[in-house]
Amino acid sequence: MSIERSHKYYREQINSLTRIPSLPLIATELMQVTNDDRLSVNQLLPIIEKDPPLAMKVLKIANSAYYGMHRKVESLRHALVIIGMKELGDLSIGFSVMNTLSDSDDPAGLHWDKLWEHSAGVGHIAQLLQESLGIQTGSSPYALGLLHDVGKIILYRLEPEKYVQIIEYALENLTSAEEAENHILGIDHMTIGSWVAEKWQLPESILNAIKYHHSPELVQEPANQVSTALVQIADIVANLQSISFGRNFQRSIPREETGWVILRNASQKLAEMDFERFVMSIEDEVIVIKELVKLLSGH
Amino acid sequence: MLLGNKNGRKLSPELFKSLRDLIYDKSGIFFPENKLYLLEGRLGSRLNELGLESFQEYYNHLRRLSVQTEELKKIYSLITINETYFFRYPKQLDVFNKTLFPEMIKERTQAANKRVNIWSAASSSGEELFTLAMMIKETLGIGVSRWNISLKGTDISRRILDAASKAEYGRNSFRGTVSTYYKSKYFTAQGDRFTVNDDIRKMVKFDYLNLNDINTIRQNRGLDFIFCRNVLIYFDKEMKKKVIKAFYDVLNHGGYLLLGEAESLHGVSSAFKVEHFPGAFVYKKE
Repeated sequence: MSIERSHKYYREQINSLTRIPSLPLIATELMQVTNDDRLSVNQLLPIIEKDPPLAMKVLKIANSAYYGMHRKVESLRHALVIIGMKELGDLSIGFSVMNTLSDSDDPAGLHWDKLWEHSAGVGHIAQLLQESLGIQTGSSPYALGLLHDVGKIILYRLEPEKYVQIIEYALENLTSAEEAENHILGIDHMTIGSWVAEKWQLPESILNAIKYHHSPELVQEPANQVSTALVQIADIVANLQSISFGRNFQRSIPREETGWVILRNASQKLAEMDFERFVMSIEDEVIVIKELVKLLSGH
Repeated sequence: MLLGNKNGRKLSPELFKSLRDLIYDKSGIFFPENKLYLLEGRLGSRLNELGLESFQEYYNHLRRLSVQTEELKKIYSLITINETYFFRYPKQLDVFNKTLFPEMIKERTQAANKRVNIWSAASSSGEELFTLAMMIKETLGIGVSRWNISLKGTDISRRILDAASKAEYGRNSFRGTVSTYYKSKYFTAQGDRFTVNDDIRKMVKFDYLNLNDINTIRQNRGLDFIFCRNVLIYFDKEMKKKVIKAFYDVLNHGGYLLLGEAESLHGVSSAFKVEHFPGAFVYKKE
């Protein structure tokens, strides 16, 4: 199939309601609320309280190392203040998507927990990197990392057998996932992921992370460009520490990535930090990443 | 805590500083204040051997230029830590073995240049250099004889260079993961001692070098790989910069510098290009 024809075909698949589940109502509700600057914690709280598993996840995240709280965060209200409204919106979307998509069966026996581990790893590293650089992007790096590869799950749902072939092809030929996807299906996970993000009306920052995590320079809005760059570099670091999925990762030169240039312009601290040490230190984070993703996916 | 340390054998803080500065000046190895006891302990045996009563006498002895060179070399043997083993930091060795070295061989084959120069800049008891020799032998197979692979190890400690030349090792040198394949193919066992076989020993050469001696470093131009693992920690920033600059200068374009697991050139040099691989990174001179 030509690229045009496969794109047309998969676009139709995405638009047919039966193949791709819709987002839970609560995610949509939270997206609307958190996008509105005038709303307060008081209006947000009841929505989250309606969904106890979500409330629990929010507390878990607030108590994770990301927010550096010395005392245990026990109330939801406190958690919301620590995390921030917009970030909370991103995170709850992340958890909802994760929930919606991990519920499905695994027709060809791929180990999706590895993909979630990779995604949570990218989120974790992006969050740490953001802190090291002392920047704010107005979105949650953890959530962006969690969702950046969502297109892979979508492709697997649509083409389970072929997706197994894709992973084998990438491993054998030492190519990237997107090369293998384009070779076998005529479409890649960034493209199809961005269609689903549009369909679900996800916020721009998440859409950008899904669509441009291999090319953050194409993002227009400056803050979103920085958050997408965080995801690109974190993705590389995760793969370097073998927090990876279906990929035989080889040589990488982070300083030559477009995301590096974007981050360097956003923060002086990138040039000052010992980036190599940072990369090596992630090895010790693997346990933290695995534990958090286990808690969040509710296993 | 005065046990075994007669009054005269104590190293006063003032004398420590003088001694420390002398050692730093000659070797680049730096002892911060909290290493007074280390120096006192390690050098105490030299006082006995020389029949000296105090560190003050030792210091005076040391400053006599006629004895200095030889005595300093003895000091280096006593103060450097020789803690290494076969296949240490396997992720980085993997990068060398599976990617960097084969790429170099491919490139040299095309260029009809059959020479590769490798230097282990603080070879200690030799495990690192022998590990590299074994991996290279595996990669090139019998074709190794058609190549001119120079594997040179240098160290500041004469004592440890002697040990490396003997190529005989005990259990401690095998505390990393050494496959039985390598162990049976490249070593001869005698009780719990293992001697490296001649085919591998013939591939390597050990020599004395003080890394503070920049002029001698500079005489070794044309290098393709420099292994300098777990050495920089002994140097202060100024010395690090000096040594790394010299390494850069003697490397060929396209050559690599490989540091120890916890080391980076952050704040020391930005002349190299950093290439990352799973679990390890290397510095390339472009």
